[in-house]
Amino acid sequence: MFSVLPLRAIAFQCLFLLLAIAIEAAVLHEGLKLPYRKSVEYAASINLLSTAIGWLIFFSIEPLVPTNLKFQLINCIFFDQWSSGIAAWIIFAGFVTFFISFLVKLSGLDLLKLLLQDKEEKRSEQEIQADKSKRYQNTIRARKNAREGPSRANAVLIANALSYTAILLVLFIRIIVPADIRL
Amino acid sequence: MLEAIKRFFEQFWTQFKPPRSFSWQTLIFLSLFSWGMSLLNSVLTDTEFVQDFLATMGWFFLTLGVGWALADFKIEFLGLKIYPGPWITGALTCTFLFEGLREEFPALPFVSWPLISAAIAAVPKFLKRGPEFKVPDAKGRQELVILFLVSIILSCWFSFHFLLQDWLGDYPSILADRFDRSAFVINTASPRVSDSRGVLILNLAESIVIDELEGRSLAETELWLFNVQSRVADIEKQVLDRISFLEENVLWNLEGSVSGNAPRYTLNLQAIWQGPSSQTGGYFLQKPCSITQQPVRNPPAASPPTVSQIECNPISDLIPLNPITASSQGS
Repeated sequence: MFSVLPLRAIAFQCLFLLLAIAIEAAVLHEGLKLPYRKSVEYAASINLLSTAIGWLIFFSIEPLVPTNLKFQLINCIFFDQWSSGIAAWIIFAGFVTFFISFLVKLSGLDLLKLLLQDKEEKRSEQEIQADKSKRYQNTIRARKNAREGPSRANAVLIANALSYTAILLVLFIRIIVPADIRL
Repeated sequence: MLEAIKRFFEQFWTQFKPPRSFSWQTLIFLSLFSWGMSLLNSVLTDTEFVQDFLATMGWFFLTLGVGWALADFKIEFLGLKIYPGPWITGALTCTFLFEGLREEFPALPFVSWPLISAAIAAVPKFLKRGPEFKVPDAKGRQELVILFLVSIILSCWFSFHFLLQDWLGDYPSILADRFDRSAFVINTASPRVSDSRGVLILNLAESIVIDELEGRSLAETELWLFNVQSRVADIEKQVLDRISFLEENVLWNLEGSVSGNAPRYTLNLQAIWQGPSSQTGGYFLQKPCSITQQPVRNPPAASPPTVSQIECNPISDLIPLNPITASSQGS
């Protein structure tokens, strides 16, 4: 019963996660001026989150897949046989995955910031803000939003694009490498 | 003799005596005691409830004791500090929580193991001396986020494993094929032709053919062979009714072809698999059966001088249905 193990999938997932975390940490460090440790932690959190959500989506869609598509899925997973019918679906799914993972990572980053905010920090921020006049505060906030909002989304978008490129490159190398010396 | 036993117990006690009355050793002893009583109970009386209750208490104390004992135990590996304690405690908890559901949901203990372990590992971060509840600091919260996400992914891997096992349960003939090209799975056992249910189908078909043809006259045999298409379709139906009903049954086809000239014919039975396979288009297994005429000893009057005898060869290996693509793939 336990002779067939998804060890290759696990190995690939680990490799892709490490790749993505390394690349995205570098991008976040550059783009958001975060310290090294923080950028690695953030990159790890958002990538793990998007992977986990990806699995949950897979498990919720899998029972709904019609039998014909299920055969093709089994063919892909066990035998790496890609018919042209499913290849189109995979490319489409790749696009969807890219944008969903971008949204998940962006909102994940917001959530993480909210979650990791220290109470002291929040209070002092509030005190400082109370000292300032409302108009001044508003202009500051508007400027801050204008500066930080798009740049954060930009950084996440670039990070996501670069990590997906790296993963695609690895997949491409796997196709080139002859089957008998593969992992 | 008694002296020796006494000395042994004294030795044992000094070795394993709990340092304090409230310590992990006490809990382990309590669990052993519970199990001992449960065993005693099962020998002396037959009250299942008391016995189960005591055994459950045994598990409970063991889990707590092991969790406590391993609380500070860590392994350093490549600069990472790994605390195996919560994982072992989690495994014990899962075994004892889902013991009754193992038959129905074999995946449940494995899938929940990482989540329960992460929850156990998270508990100390929410406690401060007292013990009182506290909200972990930002660093602790970051660690918790990563811990929980990693444990979710681990349990997804377990679910994926069990999903694959479900598929293999529905389509066991996949196991006869090679997973060399797969990017997802490995097969630790080497594939055997006998894993393919085509073998079962061909063997059943063989016995039906022997039933129908053996001992028949040449004319009857030739009539049967003349209608081989419909006969084999009929056999296919019988065979699929006889083997256990699985989702993969619709992917199997039985076909037969006849070659040769009177009085020697060859009936070639083929079980064709059109499901997922490492060969594009699928594969087939075949079993050639030679049909010969044997003279009848002491034939009674008005019976034919010879009757058919059927001899079948062993089943072939998996043969790709589409030889052109198979050879270009180099497999």
